[in-house]
Amino acid sequence: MQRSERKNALSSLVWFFLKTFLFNPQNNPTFLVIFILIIFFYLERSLNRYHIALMLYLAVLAHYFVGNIFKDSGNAEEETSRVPIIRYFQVLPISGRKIYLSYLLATGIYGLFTWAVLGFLLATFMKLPDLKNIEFIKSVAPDGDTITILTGFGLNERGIPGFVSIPLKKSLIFDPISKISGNYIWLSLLYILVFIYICTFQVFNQFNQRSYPYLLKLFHKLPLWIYLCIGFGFLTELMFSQKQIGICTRFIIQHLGLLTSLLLVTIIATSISIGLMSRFILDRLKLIS
Amino acid sequence: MPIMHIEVHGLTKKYITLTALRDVNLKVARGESVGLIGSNGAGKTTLLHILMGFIPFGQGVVKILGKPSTHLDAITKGRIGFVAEQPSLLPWATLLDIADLYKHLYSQWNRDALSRFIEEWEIIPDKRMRSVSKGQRRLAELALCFSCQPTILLLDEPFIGLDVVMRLKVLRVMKEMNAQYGTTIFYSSHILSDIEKVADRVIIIREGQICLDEQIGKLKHSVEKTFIDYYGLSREEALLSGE
Repeated sequence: MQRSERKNALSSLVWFFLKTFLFNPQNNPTFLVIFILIIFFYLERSLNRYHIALMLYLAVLAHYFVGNIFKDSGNAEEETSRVPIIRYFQVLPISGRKIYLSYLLATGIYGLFTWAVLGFLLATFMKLPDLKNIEFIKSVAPDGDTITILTGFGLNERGIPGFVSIPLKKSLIFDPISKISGNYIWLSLLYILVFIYICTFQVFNQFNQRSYPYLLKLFHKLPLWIYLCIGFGFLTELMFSQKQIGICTRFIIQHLGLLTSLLLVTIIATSISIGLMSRFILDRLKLIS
Repeated sequence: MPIMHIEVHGLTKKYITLTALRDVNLKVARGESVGLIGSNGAGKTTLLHILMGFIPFGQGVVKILGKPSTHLDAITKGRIGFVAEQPSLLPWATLLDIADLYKHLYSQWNRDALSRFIEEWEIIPDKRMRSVSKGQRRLAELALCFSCQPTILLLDEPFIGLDVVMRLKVLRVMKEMNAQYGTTIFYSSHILSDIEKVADRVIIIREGQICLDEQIGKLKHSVEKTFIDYYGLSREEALLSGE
């Protein structure tokens, strides 16, 4: 296959994920929730702790459904299994690495869209004159630990598709190392999501101070978050396959350095982009003088 | 010397407590149509999954279209049409969604052929796979697979969930592909009559070993003998199995 054709295959797969699942209200009910949320905000014309809770729930829900994208939800009488779905992707004439990349790109676009909508809602309603409880929002906005745990629960049940392990281990899905490799990606994605949640909420916490959000200040909790995420992933692995505890432990120890450095790079990139995006939204809405 | 599309030498596959395949040797030449038959747990699915590179194996050499099955590149995969025993189409997508994707992935993609299958097999193209019946899902899978115009077809129990009429229609298409385009076909089934209608050659597998590899013309006598020898059936029962 020529280079242009390969690119075409990649973009068509990204489009396929977006069109058929992520932006399809039939398959991803998050959009319905967003719609209800917009109406709700319009009717209420205020922002309180319940709205914050609702948004948090929405955020978790959004990624929960994205995480379930490859879970077979066939007819009720059929056994639920991801294996045929993973097989399906293995049969396609495109490498596992490209499938994984296209999935990441699609979910990235989807995630940005979701957060843009949420950010817009928050920013819009925070400038309403009857909104006087901004200090209260600051006090109820969840801290890093709470969000980590909540996100962890949201992504718990087979959060990220197993096929992500394909590029790491030659599509041998029954190989235990490959399964662990899947968790390795799972952990990094989980951590990125957690960080996005934290950044977003912290950004909005600082609105009333009319100061540019210092996202890097959040890094003081970095080691704690990493340990929490790894611990959570390990616990999940423990629950799903007890036989692999030893292999899982070895893998985590062997790759901890790589994992941390990869995460750091991703986090820095994410935080810069979120900071810029927030700044842009706030400037547009003239919330920052 | 004919070009071999499938080459298996000394293949052994062991699970933790079970030897699924032991010392399997087989060759399938270009344009051949081979039926794989065997009882439940005989190793048919394992063999097909190894050919597709889904699962690792202990010993042996497995090649498909001249490439080791464990290292199939995208181009080679694009020449293989595979249908798994379990329905594997994405439950949240429609047939048309998947067809849109395939036209970018498969260089030999034939949209007209798909339209013909949709019409002839009465497939519902715009409903999500999770919402249609098992038979419809199976037909959709086969239609997509055939529309890719593969060089080789690997089908694992392709007729599960199909009624007699649809089964005959699918068999006819397989026969046409083999005769007109020289597509190599390697498929498994429990039903001898389904094998007989398309295959030039039949392989019987039992407890992970090939116990018969015969041209279809010479089959009948051999099948009777095999069923009597290996499965302990009476002559009347063996004849019924042959039917």
